Amino acid sequence: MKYSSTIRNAFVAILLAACASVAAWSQAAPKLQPGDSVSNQKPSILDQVGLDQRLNQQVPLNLAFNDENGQAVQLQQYFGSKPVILMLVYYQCPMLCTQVLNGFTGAMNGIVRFNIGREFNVITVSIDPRDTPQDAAAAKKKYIQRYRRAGVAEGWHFLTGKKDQIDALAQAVGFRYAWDPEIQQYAHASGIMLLTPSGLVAQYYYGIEYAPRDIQLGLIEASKGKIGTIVDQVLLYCYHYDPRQGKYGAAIFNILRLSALATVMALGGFMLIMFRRDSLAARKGRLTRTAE
Amino acid sequence: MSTATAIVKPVMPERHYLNDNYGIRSWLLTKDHKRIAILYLFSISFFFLLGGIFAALIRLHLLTPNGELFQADTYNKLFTMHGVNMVFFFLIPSVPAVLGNFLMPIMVGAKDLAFPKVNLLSWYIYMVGATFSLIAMVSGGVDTGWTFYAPLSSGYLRTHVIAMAVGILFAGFSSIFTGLNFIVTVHRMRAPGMTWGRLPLFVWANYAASLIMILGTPVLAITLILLALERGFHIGIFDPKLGGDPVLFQHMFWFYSHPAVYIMILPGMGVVSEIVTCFSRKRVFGYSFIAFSSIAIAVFGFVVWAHHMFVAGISVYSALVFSLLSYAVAIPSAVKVFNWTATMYKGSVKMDTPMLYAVAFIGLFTIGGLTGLFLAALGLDVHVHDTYFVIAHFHYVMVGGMVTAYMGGLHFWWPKLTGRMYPEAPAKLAAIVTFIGFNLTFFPQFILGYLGMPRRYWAYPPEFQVLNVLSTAGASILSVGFILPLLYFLYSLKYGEVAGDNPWQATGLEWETSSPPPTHNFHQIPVVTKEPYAYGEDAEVPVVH
Repeated sequence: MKYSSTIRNAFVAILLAACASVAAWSQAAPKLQPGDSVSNQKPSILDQVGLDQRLNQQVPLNLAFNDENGQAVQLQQYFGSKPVILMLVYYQCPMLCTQVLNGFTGAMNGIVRFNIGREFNVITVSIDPRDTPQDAAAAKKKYIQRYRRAGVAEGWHFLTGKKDQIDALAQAVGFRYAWDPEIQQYAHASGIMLLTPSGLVAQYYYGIEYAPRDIQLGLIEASKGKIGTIVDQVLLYCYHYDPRQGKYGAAIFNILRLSALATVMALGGFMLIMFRRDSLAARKGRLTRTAE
Repeated sequence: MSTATAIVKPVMPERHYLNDNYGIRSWLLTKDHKRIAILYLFSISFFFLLGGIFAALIRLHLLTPNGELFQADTYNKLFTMHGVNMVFFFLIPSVPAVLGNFLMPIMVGAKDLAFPKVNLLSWYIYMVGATFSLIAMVSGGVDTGWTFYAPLSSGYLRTHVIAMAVGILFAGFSSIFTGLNFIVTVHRMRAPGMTWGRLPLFVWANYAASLIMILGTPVLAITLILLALERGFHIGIFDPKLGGDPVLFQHMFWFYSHPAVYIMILPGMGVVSEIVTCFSRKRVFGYSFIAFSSIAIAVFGFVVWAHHMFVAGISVYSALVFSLLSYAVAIPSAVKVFNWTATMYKGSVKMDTPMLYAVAFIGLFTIGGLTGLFLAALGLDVHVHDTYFVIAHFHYVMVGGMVTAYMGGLHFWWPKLTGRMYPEAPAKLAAIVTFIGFNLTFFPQFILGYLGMPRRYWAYPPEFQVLNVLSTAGASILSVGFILPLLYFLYSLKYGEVAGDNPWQATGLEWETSSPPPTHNFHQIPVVTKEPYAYGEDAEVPVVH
């Protein structure tokens, strides 16, 4: 029958259009990149500053620093079994670093189930080579007082180091900063990084305030299931990390895309088979099959 | 009638689907698609009445500029519940679940739908949804607007959003089941000889609408579930404070709700195609064009949703594409309008009540469709977005188009549903009153919107009062136009003239069986040997003048 073939063609068109619409959907929502600035004229020094996503990059664990007691340490001694939250600040910093540390401490207090030192470690590294272990010790004292949980002193490390070591670490995690001679300060990005126990960059959290839930889910993911429960794993599946926004949510899109595709395929498959039957019956000379 | 041919007065068939069985159980446990259609008829009429009462209260409130009748909060609830009732519980099920349920199997020559139990289940699911929404309304109402925009709905309002969302979720599943049933029925249950080219256009239209129901409604379900998750468990999906994206909600909502407009209008177009050919006594002009334009509308309808979001901060480039695609939908719609007019051209047009409604549909739908193009234009939309212009536009499509088609179809097939004719004179009067009342209600709103009166506002500047009074006056006339049919339909159940099998001398399998049809629709399985609209040339049926 001529109708059946026309219909089949029309149907293929429907399938294509439906797929296109699913694709268009994912494109339609405009998203601000984390680096996007509101103003078009950025001061030139800020061009050198940023936090680039180096997801899944290996951080060199042989870098050498001093801890807050002045002991020489290598990064790898903090890795191995637990995920690590890394932040790059400097201790003489008048503004942003304090904000980062305050925001971070607030978020840590918001995570009830996991504790610094027990389920994960935190490393705060100074980007200023002039910072001394004494500065680091002062900062540590200030922030662990605000956290007030057992074991934090063994889990949260404040490091200082030489410029080449700092740069190697900053480059590995995509943290770009610059010295601004005009205001005698470092210009740097604000954000914290989550690393896996083996030192791979797992996630970035931008800004100066961090949602405890996001960090908690990130920790579960970064520890590859070593902390967290089955329920967490299920939740993670539909609540995935979105590198573009530093938030979970991308997986919702994926689930929607998949289910849309499955629906279209199921309905389309049925229609295709049915139209095929009709055209076969027509070729055999029957008008249609008899009604069931 | 004056000729000597003694026309035997038609008598009611002895056995038919209405008297095959008695008692409340025989209705509530029925698997007969015709009885389920009647169940739906009662349920949606209830919601039409309820939504109509809300509309009346809204119009009454807007009689004066300062909103003296209701508190602002109450007003918000009124327009929300008017919208929710009308869209989800009346318009979407109206033609498919009542007329479609009744006619689709008969039109393709089948004994019932493919899944009779699923059909009954769909009515029960609809009723569960209806119950939830009634609970939400009785316990204080919802004031989100029928669009449930987040984060207003998910984080700020204290009203019964979740109960209402659950109600709509259920109503949505009921329409998925109906759509599924229709598609399988059209594919699997056609009588011998009923090829795709011989299907009535009503079947094509409902088939196209069913595709949208199955592909679109799940997205609505997902959207509402996500909304409930955010509202109930503070999982950030739409609320920026929780890390969500409010525009995402609009994308998801309109991805369903724009195609949903076509779920509503396509079956109405199918009704009009049937009525126009019958009362023009002429073969339909461009059968395959009308048939495939339904499919085209269904397909295009899925790629225009973002035209609701031109001012929501979407990128200019995607706005351009969506604007263009929205213009494209006008093509298949216009194809239909031109084909209906071409069908009437040189036909022997008879202005019985169904035809009055059909002609009204063509005119009003054209106005509604053309003003849709205004709104699809990027520049003009900025001016009239969220104003009464939008209200007028979609009421021209939904009431002027869809409800008019539904009323036309109800009159056209009333003799088939009940076996009796409605009284013609009051019916014609009702059709005309509806037409006048409708235009008086909604035409001033185009002007109001163009002048800048925003929708959903509780009060308005005094200079808008004249147009608002006109609109309210129109609404009261319109309500007469809707109450009249209720009265004479009820009257006709007992006192109406016995209709006979084919009171309109129409073609189509539904007119070849008795009125009302027997439980299994046909006394023997029909064999189809001719095209669907063989009016005129083969004067097989005598035309009564």
